[in-house]
Amino acid sequence: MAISFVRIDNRLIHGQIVTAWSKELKCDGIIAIDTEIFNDAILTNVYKSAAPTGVKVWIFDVKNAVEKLPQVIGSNKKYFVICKSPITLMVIMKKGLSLDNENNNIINVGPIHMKEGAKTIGPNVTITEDEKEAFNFLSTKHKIQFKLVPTSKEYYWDEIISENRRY
Amino acid sequence: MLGLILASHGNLIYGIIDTYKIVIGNFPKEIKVISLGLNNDINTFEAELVKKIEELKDTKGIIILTDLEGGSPYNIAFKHSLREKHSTNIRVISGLNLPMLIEATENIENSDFEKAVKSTITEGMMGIKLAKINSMKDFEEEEF
Repeated sequence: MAISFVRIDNRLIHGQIVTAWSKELKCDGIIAIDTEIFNDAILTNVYKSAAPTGVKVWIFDVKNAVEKLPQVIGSNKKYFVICKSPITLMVIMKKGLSLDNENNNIINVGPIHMKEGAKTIGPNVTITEDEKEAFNFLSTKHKIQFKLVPTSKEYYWDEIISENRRY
Repeated sequence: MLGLILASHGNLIYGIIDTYKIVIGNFPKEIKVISLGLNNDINTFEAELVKKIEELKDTKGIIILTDLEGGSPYNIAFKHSLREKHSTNIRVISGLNLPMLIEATENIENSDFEKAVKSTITEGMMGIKLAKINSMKDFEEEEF
């Protein structure tokens, strides 16, 4: 198993935040899955440069990710898998790929920004109905943990579901 | 547990805390803040700083982040860091910026005071860079 950490973060790779997680969990490289960035050479360069020194970054679209994640999973090195939305992870899982990881198989969630039609479910996290469905799907196999940085307080998807009947 | 105090002229410390909350989230309530405003009495500022140092006397060491080397918050903090009557170690750092604050905050649970002081300074300095893309070599596809 070569995935050490799976993260959903609207900012994708966010300088010191990634550094903080890479102190907790081994990180030889980052697999960032985002079709928009994959198709934009300038954005690709910006995000590749945002990683901590010495950490390699691969930007994949979903198709690439489906092809190449098995190689990543079979590697001796350790990788972070990061994308902006739970929907991306759901699509990948539905294609038969495993997101099992060395962080107790947890899917970690950072900030998801405010957007129209979205509801706030916690500090810095707002989700749409589609994202809610994706989280429900992901939570059948993984614990969904909301935690911005390793030192911050965490909460879990099942707590949100049980406390808030709207979802 | 380490002690952390933010000391600046004016609203810089309040602004940086507001920014911290957006980027990182919750701002730890153990962190003390003290500002020297335009119309504030410098002796009151000093008395308040001493009080905050006293409140943190049971920590393994206190880091005071200040805005400007040679400015009043820095000078007053530095003076007290040199006073032997304080029972705990105090280190004063100037040039407060966001990477520095994030690193210091991450380290307050840390037991290694000197290491925390060092990494706080390092991250603050490393945060100042010209924006550039990595060299092309880093962009070559590799085996995983």
